[in-house]
Amino acid sequence: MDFAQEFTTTLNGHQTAVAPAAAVLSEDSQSTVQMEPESFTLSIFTENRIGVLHRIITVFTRRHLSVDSFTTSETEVPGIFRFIVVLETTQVMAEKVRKQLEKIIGVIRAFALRESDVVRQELALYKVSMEKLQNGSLEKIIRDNHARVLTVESDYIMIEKTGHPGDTIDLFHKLEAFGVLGFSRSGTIAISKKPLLSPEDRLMIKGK
Amino acid sequence: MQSSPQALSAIPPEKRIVSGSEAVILSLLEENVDTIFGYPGGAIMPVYDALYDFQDQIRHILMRHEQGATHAAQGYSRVTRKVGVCLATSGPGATNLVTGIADAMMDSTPMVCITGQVASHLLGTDAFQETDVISMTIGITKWNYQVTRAEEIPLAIAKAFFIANSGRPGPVIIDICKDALLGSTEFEYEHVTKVGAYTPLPVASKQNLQEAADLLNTAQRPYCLLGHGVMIAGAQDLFKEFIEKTGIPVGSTMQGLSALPSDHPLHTGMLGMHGNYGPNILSNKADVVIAIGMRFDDRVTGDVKRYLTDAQVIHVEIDPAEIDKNIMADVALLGDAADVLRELIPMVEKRSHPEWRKLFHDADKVEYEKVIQHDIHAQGEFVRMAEVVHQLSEKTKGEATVVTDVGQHQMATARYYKFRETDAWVSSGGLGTMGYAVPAAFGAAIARQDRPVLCFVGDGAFQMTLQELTVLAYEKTPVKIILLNNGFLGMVRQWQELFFEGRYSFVHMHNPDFVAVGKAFGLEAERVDTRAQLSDAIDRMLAHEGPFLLEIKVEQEGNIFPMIPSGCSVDEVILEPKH
Ligand SMILES: Cc1ncc(C[n+]2csc(CCOP(=O)(O)OP(=O)(O)O)c2C)c(N)n1
Repeated sequence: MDFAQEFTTTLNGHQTAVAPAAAVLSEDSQSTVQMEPESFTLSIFTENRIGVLHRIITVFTRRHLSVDSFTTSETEVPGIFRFIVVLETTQVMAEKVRKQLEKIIGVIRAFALRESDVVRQELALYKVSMEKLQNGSLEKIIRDNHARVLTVESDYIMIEKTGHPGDTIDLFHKLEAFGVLGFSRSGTIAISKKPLLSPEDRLMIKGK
Repeated sequence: MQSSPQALSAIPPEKRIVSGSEAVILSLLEENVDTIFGYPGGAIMPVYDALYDFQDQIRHILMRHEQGATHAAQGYSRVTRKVGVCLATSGPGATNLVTGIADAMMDSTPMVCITGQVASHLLGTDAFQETDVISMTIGITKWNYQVTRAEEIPLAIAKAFFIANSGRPGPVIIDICKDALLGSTEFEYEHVTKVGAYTPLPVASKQNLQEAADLLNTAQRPYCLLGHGVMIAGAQDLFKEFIEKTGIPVGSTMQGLSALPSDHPLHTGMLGMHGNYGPNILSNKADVVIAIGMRFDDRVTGDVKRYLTDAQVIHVEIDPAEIDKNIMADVALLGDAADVLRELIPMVEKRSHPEWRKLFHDADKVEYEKVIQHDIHAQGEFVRMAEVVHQLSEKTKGEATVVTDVGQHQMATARYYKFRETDAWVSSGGLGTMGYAVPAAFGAAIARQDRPVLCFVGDGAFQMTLQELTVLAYEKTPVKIILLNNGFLGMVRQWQELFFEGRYSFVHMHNPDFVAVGKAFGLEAERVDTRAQLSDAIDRMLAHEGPFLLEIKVEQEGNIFPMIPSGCSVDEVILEPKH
């Protein structure tokens, strides 16, 4: 079975659903090389999850790159997974890492995307105590922060928020006055802003 | 418990039900494996039991240490370009493979290691002789896979062979749980030629080829860096055609040695830390550099910031991750060296660069006067490593397979053996593994009996894997071991002398009687103490039919020059110690 082929076929059907194209840093981009660290989102498509997980991680650990966020989930194509890794690094290093990732057997393609080229979001859950509701207007905070209530139990209320990592932390601080019993964030997921795969990338994903 | 192979072959192939272990052996046979280097133990015992019935079809060599098995497999592979195969048990058997696997990874040597593993229900329980081989070898394998069911075996092995020897070759481990080996499966074998999205052979774009050709056609001082990739691709003839048409002088990496005959008029010598003077002093004068099948290792480049300062760089490379890794390429030609050269040759103009090449000849003269003549025609009291290598090079007419260990003797051999055969240099480059030579020489010798095998080793390195002498003796493998005994861990001593104010810290060797050791293992052995004895002793060694250990007492504190001190630029290469 050829996952890559299958993946491409599906991609062609849902081009806007998965758009990993965008700023693939090309081999001859030396003239515009940025030496300052910036935030990169690596979008890595793989043929399995557990088998490549460790190999993907060693690409970062070997180079002492600390990663801000690391998430993985299955794509809309069964058997094809996507890892999203966010890290601060230079363009040169992002490109080296991208190539090392693509060298892993089981990785279909990896893309190094600039912050300006992606939409990034994360999900956060907050478990807030019912005991100190008098400390402010919880309802207003929820509304102003575009959060929502998931469940209300006898002694706590569960709130959910989607947003930038900065926003989810912001909300955490605002909720602290009420007593936050639990807080969990998903890590960043991202999608490229460019609507279509470039012809080149479509070709590459085919895996030839 | 198992049917014999004769009975098996009577059954139509698609109906064969075999044990997991038999599936392992049958898969190896399907991959045309004729030799395995291994060592038995608990978890791999079922495979050894199956092997019992196939001894007439597969030669198993019982090495004396699993590390020896890996290096033997590497030696075997380096002279045949076939996949080297190792077999080992779980736990300590597998951990003993680690050094050789790492070495094979660094030097792009195709190798498949099959390890036994505890039964699948015991995984993760710290069972007897359980080690997490897969996690341990992630960083040093091209691919690895743990098999927990017998029916996975044929496909896993087929993938392993394909991955190990396609694209940029490398080592693969297949770790097989004991219950999978004992279980049974239908045996059907299909060779693998594609694994998911893995693209072993990228193709250089027409546009980049044209850009490269334009650069080469207008270059004033072009230089070609020749790497191991040329031999891996089997591109030696195309390479020669390419340089002869373009007239570009060539510097070889250490691992590129023997790709081009050493006496080829365009061969300027070896690059790097202990390479030749011309290649190092002139690299930064080149205006166009074409690097073929090499990866700009730091031992080649010296300080990367001051390397190829005046050159546009064309990088011909099969592994995209090597492009721009150490040295930025102006033009990247992705692909197998043979494929790229085949495309490029018709696009380049016939040229010659007499003035530019003269600079290399001038540099050669300087090096000859300052270094080489004193090395190979040494007058001092003690024998020098270089003169030994020089004599062996002459006496074997450059036609031997040359295997080395790691240290000063390796550099002396790389510098002074003049190759006329190809795939004839077997040495640990990227990892620099002491203990490599004796087992690697054994592997190389049994793989190719058409030429003599010289094994250069230091007194330190020799003691790391000398247990494999037993194998040389019982297999009567005619490896000629030239033990260059300086009584020191010479290369470390040289650095202590030059960069640590002569503070010799734990580099003096208290050695055994090597001749007695050789004889105890069953080798013919002799010692040379003086220059006067050298030539005759070498003749006796070369004339001897079986394995031979020739210990040669060499100058204790001899140094290898030229040298690029680490951190320096290639053009800061020094010819002699500063006084
Ligand atoms: C396994 C291993 N341990 C340590 C080293 C570091 N090392 C590099 S060269 C060398 C000295 C080698 O001494 P010897 O084998 O006597 O050879 P010589 O340099 O004297 O020719 C050492 C210790 C190494 N390369 N490999």
